[in-house]
Amino acid sequence: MTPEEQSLYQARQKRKNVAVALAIVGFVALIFVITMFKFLVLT
Amino acid sequence: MSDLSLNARKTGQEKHPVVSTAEFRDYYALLKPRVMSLVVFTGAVGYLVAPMTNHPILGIIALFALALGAGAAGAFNMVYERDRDALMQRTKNRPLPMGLMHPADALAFSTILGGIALVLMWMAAGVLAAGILAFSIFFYAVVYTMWLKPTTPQNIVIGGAAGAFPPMIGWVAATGALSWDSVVLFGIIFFWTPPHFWALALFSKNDYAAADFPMLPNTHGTEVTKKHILAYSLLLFPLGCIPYFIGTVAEIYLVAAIVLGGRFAHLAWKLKVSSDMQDARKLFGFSILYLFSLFGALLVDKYAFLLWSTLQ
Repeated sequence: MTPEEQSLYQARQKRKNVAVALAIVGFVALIFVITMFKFLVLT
Repeated sequence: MSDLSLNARKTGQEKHPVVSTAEFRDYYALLKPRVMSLVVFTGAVGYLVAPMTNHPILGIIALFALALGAGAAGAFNMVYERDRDALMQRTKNRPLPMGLMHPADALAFSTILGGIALVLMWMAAGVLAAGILAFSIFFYAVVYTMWLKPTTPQNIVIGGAAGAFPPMIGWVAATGALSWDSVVLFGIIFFWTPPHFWALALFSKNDYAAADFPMLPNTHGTEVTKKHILAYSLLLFPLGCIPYFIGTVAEIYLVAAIVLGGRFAHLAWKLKVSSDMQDARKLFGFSILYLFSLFGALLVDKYAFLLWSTLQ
């Protein structure tokens, strides 16, 4: 891997990690919202 | 965009890149957005036409889960068919044949998306809707993509079931149960799929031959395909009218079904007697309009009837 590829790889990896972290947080938040909605509004 | 990704986009040579140059839009392209829009639309119509018992907020989440599930299935299809996609004009610019991302990344994306879709559907609409969604993803990814598509010219006949599930899932998400109405909506898309894809296969014959897919025009010839298209179009005509006869909707829909079904059969007949491939393109274009309009008519009829009943 050339130095240019190396730095590009690291930058991509960082972006990928952020995207995955955001997806996990979003998913957990959505599950929480659905559960609360069912519990507080529908019961 | 980086030079590397520019190179990959220009040449399409790098099959398994050392550095993934995929951008957000490439992951978005993996979801097959155009197919997804049809899935969400037919699913939403199934949801809205059904006698709703589920809360609308949960309905919106269920439709979001349906979109994610369709995207997951589409992404898996692109991973599995990446080598053949590279050989077809229509698909060679997809992210995987372009070498913009590693297949393992795309596979992980598809698997995680599918898992999220199933959990969300289960929470928002119950186990039955999630079960049908899981079966439809499995059917598209394994039964259609891995088994039927590369092996039999009847691939699209049986495989069409995968695309026919969304209105049924929408219906179940709204009511919590299956009914004959939802089975009929399933049937309409099931019988619409073969003439739609065979029309595409007629004018993309060389493309499918290059990728070695055994599509009907390549294995049995143009004339046999045209006969099949006409037969399915004639079957689709009465089938499209059934929602009226079983009381799902009323006369507005029936008129639309007769006009649209008649035009579909007319175009299929024109294709049968013509030697111009433009007629295949016309039928393909109309088939998309047909499905959107027919399902749109279901909505218009249901809500016009509700409005009329309220005003009375």
